Amino acid sequence: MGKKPPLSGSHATTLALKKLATEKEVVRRKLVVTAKKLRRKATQLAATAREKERVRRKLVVTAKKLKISHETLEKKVFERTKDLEQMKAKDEAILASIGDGLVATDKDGRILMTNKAFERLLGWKESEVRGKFLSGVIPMVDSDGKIILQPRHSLKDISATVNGASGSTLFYKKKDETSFPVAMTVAPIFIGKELMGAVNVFRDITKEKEIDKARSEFMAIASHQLRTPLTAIRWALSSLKRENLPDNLKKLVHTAHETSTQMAVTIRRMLMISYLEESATEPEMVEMNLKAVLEKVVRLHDAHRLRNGLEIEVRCPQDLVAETDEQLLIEILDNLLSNAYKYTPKGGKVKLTAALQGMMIRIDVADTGYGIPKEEQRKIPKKFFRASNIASPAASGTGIGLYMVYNIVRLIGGTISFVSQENKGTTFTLLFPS
Amino acid sequence: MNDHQKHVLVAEDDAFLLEMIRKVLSKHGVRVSTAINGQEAIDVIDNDPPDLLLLDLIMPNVDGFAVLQYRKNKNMKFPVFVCTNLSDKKTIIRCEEFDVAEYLIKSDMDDDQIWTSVGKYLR
Repeated sequence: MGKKPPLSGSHATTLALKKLATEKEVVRRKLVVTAKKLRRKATQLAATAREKERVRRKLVVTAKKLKISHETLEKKVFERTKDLEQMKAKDEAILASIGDGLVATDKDGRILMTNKAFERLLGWKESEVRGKFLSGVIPMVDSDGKIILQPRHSLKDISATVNGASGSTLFYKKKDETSFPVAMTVAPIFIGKELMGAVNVFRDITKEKEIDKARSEFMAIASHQLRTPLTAIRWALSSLKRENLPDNLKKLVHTAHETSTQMAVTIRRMLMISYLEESATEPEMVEMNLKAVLEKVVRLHDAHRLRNGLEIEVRCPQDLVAETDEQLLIEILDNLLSNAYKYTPKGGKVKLTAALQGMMIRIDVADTGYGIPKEEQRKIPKKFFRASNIASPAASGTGIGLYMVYNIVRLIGGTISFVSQENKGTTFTLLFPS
Repeated sequence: MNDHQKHVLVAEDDAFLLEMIRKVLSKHGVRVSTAINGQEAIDVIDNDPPDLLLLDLIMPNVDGFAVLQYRKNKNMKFPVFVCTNLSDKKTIIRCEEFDVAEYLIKSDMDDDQIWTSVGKYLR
């Protein structure tokens, strides 16, 4: 085998140098590439750093803004809380200053809050009654001490009781078991359309009741004192009327007797108005044959009718039954008929018509009398109203009759209206539940 | 004297009215006893019970209510017509509790009307 001839020393060095140069070149190129990469990377890092700095600055600004907002908010909350506290204190002061008792309940009738007057009037502290049923803590009783509402009744029931108790007095029982008369208003509390509870405002009406009682007693005594001498006068004149007196004296006695009778009627009516005004009269509902009642009233005024030369016509179904207070109905019809006779000239006619109209009874009292002038019609039912066109001296009247009629009609749950034309006549229409 | 003659006791402190009522009742054949106060009325009731009592309420010493109470205590059944000038509700309710047959207001009637009311009951 042939052997490679050994290289000369310089050639070998040259080759080694060439190889080294090549390797160096490779390394240099790699370094160039790496440097490029590094430069690119450095650029990227610089951009990221810039972006971060921008974000940081933004965050600093936002943080500052947030801090300011927070401080403003805190300030506003503080101010608003202060305002609310002031408002609450003001409301509490107002509630505390109300002389009337106040209690608010939820929709089941459990006590939510009370005011100072509640505590003063009833002797219960709010802390003792909060969360309890109002009607359980404070029973509502009548004048005999009988409980009207059992415990666990909602204010809605109380409201119904209060509104249904027209006329009769309600009493609240205190913590010490004594009771006092109350006047109250119960109002529902709505949030949106939802019933949340109710508020009950009440006051002690002991003083008013005492005044009412004193007034009633005065009226009772005054009327008795007026009636006693009047009775003697009436009876003496009645006795004289039966004597065989000369015509001129007979006429005088007759007039005096009529006048004293009228005075007795006036006293009776004034007393009735007084009772009606203090709601001491409550209707006693009984079933009655209406025709019999109408005929009774007609009979009562027959002498008056004949004296005035008037005609009467009664129209009423034989079997028409009404359920109402007979005495009050008679009082109404008595007044209307008496007025019709009084204000209808001789030869006139009065028609009394009764009929069933749906669930109501309708009674018309129509006359062919003087009528009420149009401009004066709005004055009815003013107390002591008398129409200006009543010239007839025979038609004496006080003007309290119609006022009383309107009050009594309300009492029996009815309505009354009239149509009137001067010199043609008047028709009063009474409607009341059958 | 008629065996069936009715006996009415009139208790009234006003002498004039008492006499008027006595006259009108007597005129119609009624035997009338009179009393000017409650005690006199009770004495008559004990000794000669009436068929009907016409009773005023306000009378001196012993009043009409005391007479009504006495009648109730003795469980007597003769009808009572109260004849008064009081017309307040309290008085009327009190009379209803004593089972009064009629409540007449004196000033609203004449002596003749008294007879009309009483006569209806006696017949």
